[in-house]
Amino acid sequence: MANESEPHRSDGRPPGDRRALVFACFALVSWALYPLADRYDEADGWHWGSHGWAFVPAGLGTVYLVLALLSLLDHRSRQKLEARPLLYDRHDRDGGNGLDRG
Amino acid sequence: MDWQLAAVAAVVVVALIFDFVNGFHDAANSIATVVSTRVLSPRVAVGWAAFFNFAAFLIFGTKVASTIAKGVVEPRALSIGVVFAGLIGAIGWNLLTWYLGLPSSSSHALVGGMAGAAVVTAGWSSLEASGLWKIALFIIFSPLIGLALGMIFMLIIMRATQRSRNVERLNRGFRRGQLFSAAAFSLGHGGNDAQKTMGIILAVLIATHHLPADADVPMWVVLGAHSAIALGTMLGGWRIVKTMGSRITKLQPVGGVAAEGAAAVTLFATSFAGIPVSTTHTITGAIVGVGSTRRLSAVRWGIAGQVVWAWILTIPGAFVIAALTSLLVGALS
Repeated sequence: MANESEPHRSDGRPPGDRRALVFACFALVSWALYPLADRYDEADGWHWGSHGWAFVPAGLGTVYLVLALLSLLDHRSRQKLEARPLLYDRHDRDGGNGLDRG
Repeated sequence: MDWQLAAVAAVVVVALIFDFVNGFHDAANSIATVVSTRVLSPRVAVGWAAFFNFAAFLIFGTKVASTIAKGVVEPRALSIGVVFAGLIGAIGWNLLTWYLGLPSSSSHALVGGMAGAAVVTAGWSSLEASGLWKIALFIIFSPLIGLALGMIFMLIIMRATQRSRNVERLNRGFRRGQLFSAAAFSLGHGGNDAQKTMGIILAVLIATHHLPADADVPMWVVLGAHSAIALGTMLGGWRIVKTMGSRITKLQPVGGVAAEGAAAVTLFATSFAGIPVSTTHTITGAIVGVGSTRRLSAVRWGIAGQVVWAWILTIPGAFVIAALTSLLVGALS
């Protein structure tokens, strides 16, 4: 998902995945608004959970949960890459030009 | 002389001035990304956005106008004085935030202003709970939808172009693509924001019995509102462009396409559903979403935080200015 690496902390370890955390919070906010997003009807009072605009927070919360999971997976794969660099990256480090993979 | 007719005409003029200021204040968002990525010069970009602001009347209905006219304040509480004080509250707040360079929402300033004037004149019971609740919910939902769509669009584009090796050609393609995405966003902006002014004029015409309560928006009102917002865009607010286009996150043409496309989809959907949302909230969310695909630190959260504070304060700020105007008008008359 990301092309650039996160800035490192002073101890050299990459920071936790704040993006996944933010998206998870957005998912929670969306779902928290689910019961409030229903139609308000003067005659019948409040309706809970089955009609009105409730599909918006329900759908939005699900989308943010998926984005949070994708972000988490992206973060983990980048951590693995940093821990075990690709062959040509190691070759670069050893003084090669990065193109000779043989 | 028919004084009531003269008062109605004066309120219509003030409403069109509000629309003009809206264009001046908000419509610059339509061209923020296209200018910051240097796809168009500022002069050409404002002409482009203004044209599509005006053309929006051919596509969208008037559902948002009906929500503003009948869904914020109960029809019995509407009067020339309430609409006038509400407009003054909204214009006052817009000018204040424009001076401070903050992208607040003209739409919510209008809702806050109308509510403040109605409460002073006819009490809290004059407010339409259902309409206000819907608007309040979408204050939260519209930037969240814009953000999610901005990120998803950007991910789709990145996935679709990851194997392409000719970066120059890709960049040229996205620069051309931004012309279409900016046009789509301007259409959405014209469709949603011009309707708010139509709603105000419809409200005052119904309140003074020039139109029946179930009337639709007359064509002269539709054309007048779109002309005013297009003219406001032409004379644009460059302080806001600077904030939106470059201070929240640095955008490339590909990001501009994703952000404007995401905001346009959100505005189209809400306009057809009759929900007045803030174009500023929506495009800000989309820009943050696009920036987040790189990393969270690509978004300047301090600036985004200032924007959020402007949103939170908009309805109370316009409410207070409108309430004071209403009290002043009451004391003088």
